Amino acid sequence: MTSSTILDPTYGACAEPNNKLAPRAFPPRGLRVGLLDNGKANAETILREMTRALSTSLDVASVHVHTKDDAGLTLDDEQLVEIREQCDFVLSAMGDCGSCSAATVADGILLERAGVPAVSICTEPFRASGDVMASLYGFPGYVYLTTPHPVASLSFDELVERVTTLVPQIRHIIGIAS
Amino acid sequence: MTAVVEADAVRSSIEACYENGWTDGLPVVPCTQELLDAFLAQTTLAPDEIVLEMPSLGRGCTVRMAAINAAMAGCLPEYFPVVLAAWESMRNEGYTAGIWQSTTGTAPVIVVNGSVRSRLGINSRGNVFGPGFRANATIGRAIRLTVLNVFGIKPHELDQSTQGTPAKFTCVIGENQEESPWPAFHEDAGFAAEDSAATVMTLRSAIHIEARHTADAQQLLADIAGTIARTGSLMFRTNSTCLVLSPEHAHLLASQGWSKASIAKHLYDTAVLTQDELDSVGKGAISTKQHWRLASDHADAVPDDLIGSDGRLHVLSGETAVQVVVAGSSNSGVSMVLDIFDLKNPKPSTISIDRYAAEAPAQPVDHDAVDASLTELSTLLSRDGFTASWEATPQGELTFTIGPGTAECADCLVPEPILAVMIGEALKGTGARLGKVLLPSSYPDASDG
Repeated sequence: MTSSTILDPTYGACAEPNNKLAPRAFPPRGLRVGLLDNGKANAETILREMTRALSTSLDVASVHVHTKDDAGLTLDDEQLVEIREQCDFVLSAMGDCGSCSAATVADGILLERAGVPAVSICTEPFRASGDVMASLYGFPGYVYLTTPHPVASLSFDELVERVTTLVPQIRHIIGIAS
Repeated sequence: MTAVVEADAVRSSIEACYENGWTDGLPVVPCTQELLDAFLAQTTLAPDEIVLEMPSLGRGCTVRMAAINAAMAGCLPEYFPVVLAAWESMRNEGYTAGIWQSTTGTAPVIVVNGSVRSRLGINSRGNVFGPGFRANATIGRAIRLTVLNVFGIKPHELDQSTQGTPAKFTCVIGENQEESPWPAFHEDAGFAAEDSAATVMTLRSAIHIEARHTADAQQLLADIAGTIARTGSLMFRTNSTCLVLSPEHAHLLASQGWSKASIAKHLYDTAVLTQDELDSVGKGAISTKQHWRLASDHADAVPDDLIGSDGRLHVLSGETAVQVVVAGSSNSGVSMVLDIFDLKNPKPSTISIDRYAAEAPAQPVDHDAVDASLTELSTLLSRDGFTASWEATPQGELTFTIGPGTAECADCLVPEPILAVMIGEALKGTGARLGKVLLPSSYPDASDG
């Protein structure tokens, strides 16, 4: 019997490793906060409540909301440049579905590489999707925030309560100690 | 004994594919370079051309990658143009975005029309959604294996389907044009009935309609409209549907004056939910940005202005949101409603399969006719001590081989180019064409050839 090689049907390796985070150097006053809203239900509300909670101990001067057209896609170059010019750090939500969890994690990595500290927020079941996406982007172990599922059906009061539990982790990832 | 050894080798190569994580759970056909080449020979596309790109993943699938996965799925090489046409339809439909990763867990359904159905054995009759037909089973599987292997969208990882659908293994149906009372599905897109074409739609679920009880078109359509308008399928504001009618239902409707267009209009008009019905399941309003259905008292809810002043919502986004296909056996009043998830365009994208095929044979190869046509030439060659043999591929490409001879009468032999013309002339009408002539060194001028 002759032998022949079995061909590999895959795309091949993930992107080159690049674990680079943006530098954590913030002005002491007048912070400019970016909110990357993917349009999912409650996403903008929870991002605004997070900002409000952070404002009790940080001097937030301005809030810039960017809404994505398609939650399943990563932010485009134009948005990336605009956010980089505009914001000292970014909060990004809500990765609570298949494609949008992957995209939310990828957005965080893209922002960090562009020099903007970012907190990507997903719900817990989507950690698997987020972790694989981080590896695909050459950043296995990328740190993002997860919170119990669901978020989309929470009432406003429940959202406020949820935010309270998340603030210490947000500060930790951004690198601003309380 | 030899057979046993080979069977072990086959099994170990299949197991190697499992170990590498290259399967959908079922065994695959390990793909070799030779098999890949047979697939690539079926298309005019270059191996490095991209069939689908997913910018968010930073990955594009080439013709070569699509071919390897089609081979592994169990496709025959001649199925490959159908697979390529399906990729183009998906590209147009918006499969470049995140639908493969969605919790909804959709699957592409591929509708095939035209002469390619009989040529490749694509089932359009009984058990059209079921097993038993290699082309239906493997063409759809070629797409899924590519998604798993090339894009790396695997369950529990980037594929976050909450439950998925059995259609994710494969979902390819031929339209039963022969038993349809109407022009074929692809004729509505401007193709001729015999043209081969593929159309991809995004299937969320396939819902059975049992309507063996009635001969009344209005009753049948009411049954179908009720199925389309179920609240459970509403996620965004409205839905689309592909109605796969059995020939019996299609003829029942046609005989009472219904066309595909009038069916679509009627279903749009009658597939309706009231505000109360929507409120009773908490879907009476929509979210501010992405228009997901929500309860009216949700923090992110705004009223749905598609709900008219009469308090009624048309569940379908319009008459164009209804596609009608005829498929299945002419043996009962059973049809299927496919819940279709619109990604991008109001109408599905129907793509020519022929456009992707490398010069297809005009007719199937008649091997007896090939033998008969070449007998005279063979006899002539044998007089000069040469033997002649030939073999035609299923695509009709013939290799003519002349065995070693004494060439006692070198002047009697025709030069190779003339021989090629003679073979070409002889093959006319057989479905085969000359690929190449293989000559022995003793043949005059063989070194030139």
